[in-house]
Amino acid sequence: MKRFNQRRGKHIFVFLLSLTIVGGFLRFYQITKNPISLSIDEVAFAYNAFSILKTGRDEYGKFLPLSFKSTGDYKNPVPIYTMVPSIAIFGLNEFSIRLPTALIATLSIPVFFLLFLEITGSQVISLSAVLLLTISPWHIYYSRYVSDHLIAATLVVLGVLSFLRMLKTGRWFWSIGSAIFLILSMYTYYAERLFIPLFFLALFILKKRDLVERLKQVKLFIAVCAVLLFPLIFSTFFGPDRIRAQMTWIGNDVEFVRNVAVKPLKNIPFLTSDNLLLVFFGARKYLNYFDPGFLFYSGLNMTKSGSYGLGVLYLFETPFFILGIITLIRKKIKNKGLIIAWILVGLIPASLTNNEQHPGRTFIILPMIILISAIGVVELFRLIRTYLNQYLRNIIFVAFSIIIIWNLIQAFLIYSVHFPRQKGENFMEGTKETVEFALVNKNKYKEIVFDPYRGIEAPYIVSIPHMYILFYSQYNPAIYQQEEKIRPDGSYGFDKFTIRRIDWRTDRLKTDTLFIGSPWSLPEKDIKNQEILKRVYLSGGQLAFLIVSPVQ
Amino acid sequence: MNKIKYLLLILISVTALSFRFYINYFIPVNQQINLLFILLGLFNLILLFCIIQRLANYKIGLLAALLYAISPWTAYLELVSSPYIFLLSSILFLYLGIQIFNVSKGIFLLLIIAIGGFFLYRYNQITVFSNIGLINDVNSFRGETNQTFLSPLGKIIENRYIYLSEHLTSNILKQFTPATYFTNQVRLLGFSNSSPIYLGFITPFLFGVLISVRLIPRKRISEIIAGALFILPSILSKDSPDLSRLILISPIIFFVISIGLYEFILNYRKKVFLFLLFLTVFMVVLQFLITISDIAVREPVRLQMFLDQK
Repeated sequence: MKRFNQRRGKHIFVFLLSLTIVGGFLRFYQITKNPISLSIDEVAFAYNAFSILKTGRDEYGKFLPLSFKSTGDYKNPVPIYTMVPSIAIFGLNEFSIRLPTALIATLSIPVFFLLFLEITGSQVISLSAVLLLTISPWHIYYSRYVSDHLIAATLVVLGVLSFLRMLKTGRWFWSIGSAIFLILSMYTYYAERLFIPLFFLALFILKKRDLVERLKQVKLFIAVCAVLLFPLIFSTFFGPDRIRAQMTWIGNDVEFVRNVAVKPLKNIPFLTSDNLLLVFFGARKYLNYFDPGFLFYSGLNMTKSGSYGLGVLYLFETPFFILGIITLIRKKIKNKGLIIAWILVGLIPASLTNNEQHPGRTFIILPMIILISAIGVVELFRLIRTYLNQYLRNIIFVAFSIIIIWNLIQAFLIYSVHFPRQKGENFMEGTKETVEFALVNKNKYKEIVFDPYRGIEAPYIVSIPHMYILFYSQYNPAIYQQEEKIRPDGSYGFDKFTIRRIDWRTDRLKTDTLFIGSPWSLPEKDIKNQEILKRVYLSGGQLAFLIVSPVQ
Repeated sequence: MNKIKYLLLILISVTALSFRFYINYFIPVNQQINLLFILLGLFNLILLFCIIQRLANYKIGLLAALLYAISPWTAYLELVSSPYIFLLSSILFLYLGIQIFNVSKGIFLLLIIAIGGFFLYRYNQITVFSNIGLINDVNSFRGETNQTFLSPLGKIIENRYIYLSEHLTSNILKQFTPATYFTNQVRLLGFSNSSPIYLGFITPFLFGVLISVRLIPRKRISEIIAGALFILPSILSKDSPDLSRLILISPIIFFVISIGLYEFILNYRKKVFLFLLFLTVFMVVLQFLITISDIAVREPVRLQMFLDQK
């Protein structure tokens, strides 16, 4: 028996190792090229990490901050600090900044297995779940660029795993480990700041008896949490993090303001006040996350809106997921309450923020969604084995294999062909090319003006070109922190670079100046051909930028 | 008991009428109110009561009738004289007749398919196949893949038949999104903020589903299939899910909610059920008050904005 268990353990180890290698390949392959370019958040994270590495201060000169003002959205510290060693080793480039997330994502595969095993107690379900995790489009998507959502979710998984181990073994180090991981997750992403307290409230109710048995360890857990939480509570309620909460608050949702509250309407009676309507609007957002379109078709927003893309689950997972829910309701499954509470609570933070279905804000529920699918997989196999003869089993096996292969190829095409072409603009494609051109030709001009507004259909995207300039020029953070960046005319700039709107009617008269902007600010028809130095196109073929220097 | 039963039914009918006239007073979606459709709505309410009374008991029947009466979904569609209200009346009438005369359920199923098929064909309601957006998507995806070495894969994977199958599967699944029925995710008549069914009813609905799954006898299988067919018109719509078409399954939803609610009432001595009952009543009363207040204040503005956009 012992030998059998050892052999089984070896098989599981080999299987997990293989999945981690495959998972690593899917997460690292061409990581610098897909997503096609660095997003606004990525460069902002990266330059702050570079600044910390070189000076110990953020871009504003604040010493080792716990909240980074960055572009005014007050970024969490963990993603930035995790980037520092990587930048120190590999330098400031696309690979070094995407490496920590991809590495954490790859290593999370065995960690997720341990959590699934701890929750369900079933090796088969846990192995099926990590298999689905390895190829999960949701997990892969967020692994390939700097993702605070993924890092936070992994920390939560580690925290809950340690907590469950603490309840099981009573060892004190699990208490400390659990508290550290969970509180760190709250320093990583904002959704966790609401999720962790609510989920643990539910967990305390569900595990009341176990908690009474391990009272000492629980007290230690609470004490460590309290100590680590203190700066966060201060920052959230009295510090700058409040601004971030206000920015993303559901009450600012465009749909709510325009169509639900119909602002600016005056003399509103109490019963139809904004706050009451907001309650039901939040409920709608919450329920909307159960939309199959989000789950199976286009939840990841990797293709243009309205068309088909990738959902957070593959289409072939539909029967698994449905069967998983039915099994979860009907059968006795260990820690059923925990699985349900995780999902129900996990959707609350995303429902309280603006914008429609956000796969990042709900990333925290990914482990349990995958677990439910895995429960469905195992149940489906059981049903097939019990009720169908060999002939029918073969037919179903072939049919399912075809559907799975077809779905995986479709996902591959979306990832490798359509995503870069259709979503290049969301990742600020073209900015790198323009910045590199400007850096090479910097000495030829007195001033380089960069228009922050861009967009193919309309200039509605406010990019942060200064961050890309800082990033690609590896601009000395010590100088940047000291420099006066607001110019006398109110524009923003440093060195030779000025970030402001371009008005070609007046700017065309400025010689010795390089202008970089979208065709909205630099209309081709008004510019002489010899003035256009370069045209920068998106992978989809649309003209994104013109680089122009007026000639008199 | 009979007198009280019918008295309550009359009271519910009066509530239904008042609710409809109230909405019409503030949001005149039609120049003149179409009394025929209001009466058809009342007829539906009574038919629903009669059918559910026979299937379960009169208390569940009354609850379902009350749901029909105060639901913005049915009220709004009656006010715009939706042809689906008429279709709903026909189906309910047919089903009651079959119950009374004990006709084979198979025949009922066939009749439903025939009526539904005729309706869809006659009013040219199958718009999903003429969705230009879908064809454009396929062409655009194929065009992009053709620019790469993966072109042969694109030919196999990205063709209109596969995309249409995916689209239809998506449409089928979309009909089961709770947000469609219990929130204003899909806007009633394109502008309204009222949710088709009050959100508070979601708990009894889920509970009702659990009970129904356990209790439905196998001999009712043809009725279940017929019920499932009622989502077909919405699936075949270009703008799926389509609340006008989904009205055909509203009696089933009202029935399931009533079953759940009835269980809450029956078991109110248990703390959990008392809490669930209290929560449901509180949420529904609150949302009903908000809805009628909203109808008076904001809905006319929304309607105007919707008409201006048109």
